[in-house]
Amino acid sequence: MAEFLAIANRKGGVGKSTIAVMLAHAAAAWSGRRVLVMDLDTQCNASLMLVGGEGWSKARRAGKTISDYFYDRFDKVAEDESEYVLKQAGDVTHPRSSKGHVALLPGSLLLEDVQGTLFLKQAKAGKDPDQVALDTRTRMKRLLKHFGMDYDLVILDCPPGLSFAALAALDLADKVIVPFRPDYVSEFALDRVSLLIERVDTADDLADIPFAKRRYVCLPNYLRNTGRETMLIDQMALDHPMLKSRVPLLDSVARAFDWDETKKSMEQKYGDALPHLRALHDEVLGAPLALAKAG
Amino acid sequence: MAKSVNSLSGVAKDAYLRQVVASESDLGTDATERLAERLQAEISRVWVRTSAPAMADAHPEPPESDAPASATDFDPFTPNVIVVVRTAGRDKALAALGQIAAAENLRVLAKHQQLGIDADLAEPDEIRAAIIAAAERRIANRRAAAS
Repeated sequence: MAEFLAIANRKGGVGKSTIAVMLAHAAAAWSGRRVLVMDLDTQCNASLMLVGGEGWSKARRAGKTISDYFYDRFDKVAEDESEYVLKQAGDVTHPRSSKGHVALLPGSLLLEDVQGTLFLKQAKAGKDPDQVALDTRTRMKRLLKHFGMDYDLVILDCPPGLSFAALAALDLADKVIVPFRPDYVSEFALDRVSLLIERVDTADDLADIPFAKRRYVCLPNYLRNTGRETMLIDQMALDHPMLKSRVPLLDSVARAFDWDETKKSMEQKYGDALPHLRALHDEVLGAPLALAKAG
Repeated sequence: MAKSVNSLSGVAKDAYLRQVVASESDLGTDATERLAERLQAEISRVWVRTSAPAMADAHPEPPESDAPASATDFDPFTPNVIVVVRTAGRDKALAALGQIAAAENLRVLAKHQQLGIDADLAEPDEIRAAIIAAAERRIANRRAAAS
């Protein structure tokens, strides 16, 4: 069964999709993992990065996106879900001897609508709304989990909001990476998302959970290496576990957004961001579930 | 030789510390490695005289765009007031701020750490107390928001 790694933060614009895709490429290229990226964000940036605009449009036209999967399979027994997956995603080459590759369950602009439809469909049956919400989330979690059999690593690229699918992904994840930009707004965002991930109600409850036992770890992203950022990271590290890795604000990371039909090496794809990505890969994926076990 | 001071953090700081430790030839490889790693982990920023020989290969961090030019020898992020208040208490934080004598530098620190203080305060003791109060407000506010 795959390891499930969610990339989440309730705040937008912190680099969730970029980190998800970078880690997917790194895991396939450097540790030979069979990786599936699930794009749960209706902005669909991970899909654009992994298969380009045309590839993503083709999947939408064929009805092979994550919202199609939820809609088609919600009331059915488990069957082969692989038809919804694009198997040759990403634009990075992998060693011939390696089984490592990146696949994608494409995102959908309609995911929020589909979730609403599925909720209403059940609510009409006269069930308690809270129970319906829980059932919807639980069912989605099961549907996501089905993919675990065929991969070593499933990366869940979560949306900023709290949809049923996002909550299902957070429930399912063995570990959650929370990328953030070190600014004052992000302090509050980390505080909120950490309560959600650890399923506690207050900061006191959270403080009772040792860092090593927490499912999430925070990743400072888009750094400009200023004193203010260092100060804020030090402050946030009082309450939240932090990765040692840091991802600076680099043009090479921004350029990596562009999908290219011609596959390239990791060096060509990530340029001067490569050492930072290597450090992140080694820290997060250096051993199976290294983070979840070591904290 | 004229001496000026450069601030190093991040990769440049790590490279500088490693270079300094490695220059001590009496230390064995293991000790060098352990000491360098510990210093890199525990020190967030160093201020280095550029006349020091070890600076030759270090890469100075460009000055913070939001730091006043007159504050080149003053680090407005040290002490990290919120961290000290939370980990050591307000008295220790006040004592740490006591190391900064000039009212102007205290105001610069408050500005850079975004700790709102009354602009009319003139006495260093008053400014220090206002900085601590602002830090405590920030901590309480964040705590309330997370509950």
